Amino acid sequence: MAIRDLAVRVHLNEATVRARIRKLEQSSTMRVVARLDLGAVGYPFTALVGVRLRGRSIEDVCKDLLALPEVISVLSVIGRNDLEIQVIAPSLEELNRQLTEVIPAIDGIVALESALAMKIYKYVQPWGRFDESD
Amino acid sequence: MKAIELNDLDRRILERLSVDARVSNREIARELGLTEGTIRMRLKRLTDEDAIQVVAITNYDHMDDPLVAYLWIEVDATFPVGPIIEALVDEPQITYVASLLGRADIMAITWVNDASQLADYLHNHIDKIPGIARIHYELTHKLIKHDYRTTSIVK
Repeated sequence: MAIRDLAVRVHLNEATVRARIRKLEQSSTMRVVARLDLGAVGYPFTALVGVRLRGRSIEDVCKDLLALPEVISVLSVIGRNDLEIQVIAPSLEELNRQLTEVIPAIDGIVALESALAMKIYKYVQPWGRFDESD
Repeated sequence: MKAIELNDLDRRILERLSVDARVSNREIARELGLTEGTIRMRLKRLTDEDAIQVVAITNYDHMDDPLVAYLWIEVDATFPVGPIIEALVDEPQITYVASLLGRADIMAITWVNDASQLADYLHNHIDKIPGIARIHYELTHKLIKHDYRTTSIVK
């Protein structure tokens, strides 16, 4: 969207919008970035996996999970599971390997509860941690 | 979406753009020691193939008490799933919608400031969608990682 159109949409003048965006960018609050389509880069499969832990801290387990490039999202949650993670894969076979061999082998993980995203209809998710990609 | 071949150069260009997509082609060309035309050509291909998307990303750490909520939605089997998914996609506060195999019929993600805001939102917006039988939700208390560099481009 052009800044001019954005200004019209939020009923402000262009210079104000430009200045606010600059301020958001300078304070590292917002970034304009390019994102890659998972399917286009050869990872059409996503699993949404609930993870239960025992006997090892969340921090330590996460360190191992974060070392896997296939794990693109890790959230600690309140409820039946301790973590909700998203795992991507180039094929069902590879996804199966991640979910039955690689991830269960991590010390401290006692149970996985998985769902396959058959089709993703919306993926906006306009937030993220900035340090990860720097 | 069919997979496209990405060569080393594509990857380097994308790496640069994943931190700042407002950088000019000339600047990328200078940094990578290539011509502007080469960069333009590679980017045109990626855009034409719908392999990349330019978006504004908010820093999660600068947001006020953001809580990501996973909504696991079960659908009443007498209702078709299509219109329910459409209604969820149309909700501006929902940032992710996928149909599932296992755990539930649909998973949607939203984010809120606290549990009571989530309860209000579910009650006033989501529960009203016809055909939703049950919603089981999970509230995050910490985002450990969310790689914003990838997405699913939905047309």
